[in-house]
Amino acid sequence: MSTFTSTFTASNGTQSKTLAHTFNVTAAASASVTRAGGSLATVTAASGGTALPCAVSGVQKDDVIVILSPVNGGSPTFTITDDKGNTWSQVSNYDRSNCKVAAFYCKANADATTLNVSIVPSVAVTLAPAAYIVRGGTSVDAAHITKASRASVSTGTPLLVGPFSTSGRAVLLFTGNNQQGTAGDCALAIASSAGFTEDLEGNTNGTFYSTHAYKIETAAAVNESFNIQSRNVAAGSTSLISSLTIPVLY
Amino acid sequence: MTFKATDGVQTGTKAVTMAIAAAPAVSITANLPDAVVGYAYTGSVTAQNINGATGAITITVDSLPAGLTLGSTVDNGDGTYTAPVTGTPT
Repeated sequence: MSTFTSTFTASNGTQSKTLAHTFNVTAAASASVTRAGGSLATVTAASGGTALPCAVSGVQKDDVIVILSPVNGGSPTFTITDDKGNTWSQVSNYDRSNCKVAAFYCKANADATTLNVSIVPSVAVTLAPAAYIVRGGTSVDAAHITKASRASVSTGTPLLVGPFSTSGRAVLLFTGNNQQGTAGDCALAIASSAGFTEDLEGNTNGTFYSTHAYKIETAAAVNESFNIQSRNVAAGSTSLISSLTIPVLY
Repeated sequence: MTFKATDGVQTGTKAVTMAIAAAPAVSITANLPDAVVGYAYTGSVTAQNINGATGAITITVDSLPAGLTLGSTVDNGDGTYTAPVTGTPT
């Protein structure tokens, strides 16, 4: 924060009075969102209850870590822990088999060169997780996490998700899952008047799976719907997209 | 105060109350919140004549944080005058 002192003068031509005022000028808060390093390739549990180890590197204390993951198989529930004792929370939308997105988040309570994460599903499942580190945020506002609608869409046909809202400045992350039609990339194209400006190079490519995250930083409360469409599925095929937004307040 | 007169024999006194009016003046107040770089800012400075002072008031400033400007003084019609401080701090 910097300060700046101004002197105002009010005069009626005969009498005058001055007032000194010190402005507090603060820098705009800014959260950075990066794709975390580490081994987050597609992992498959041989059977229910098998731990799926992942590693997230480059974590610093107070980072908000978000893991977004397409899910294949059954209707799993998850337990997620790490070797630093962070408290993880999960949000997810499992409204249909073979097209799901799971999301986990925590606020790191310690610097960690590598965070060894263990995801334990209740049933056999394959995950293609991608982790993102939000630095500069203060909290994940779970109350405003939106489980977006999911639908079967054809290439070029936007899927409207939301509306969702945030209570203040926030970073929003989207992800998608292509689980039908053409295997491979399921990049998302997002149109928003609120201004998605950054594609977080998030594709975790696997057969039928991909995670692709977009970031938006909002200066004020958001209450809007977004159009999402698969853009890399072969023409004429059908893609199922799940999406989920996680506002990270700062 | 009490005035006293004497001729050496008799003395007379007179208590007198004198009202001293405050000098005509101008008062000034500010409603200026903290500013955030990159975000629109709105504040104001208000002044008025007091103690019988008269005349249209003009509000000026020596300098402001970069990106902010002082607008023209407006007569609010109720004896007060206001100048807005607006802009986007840089």
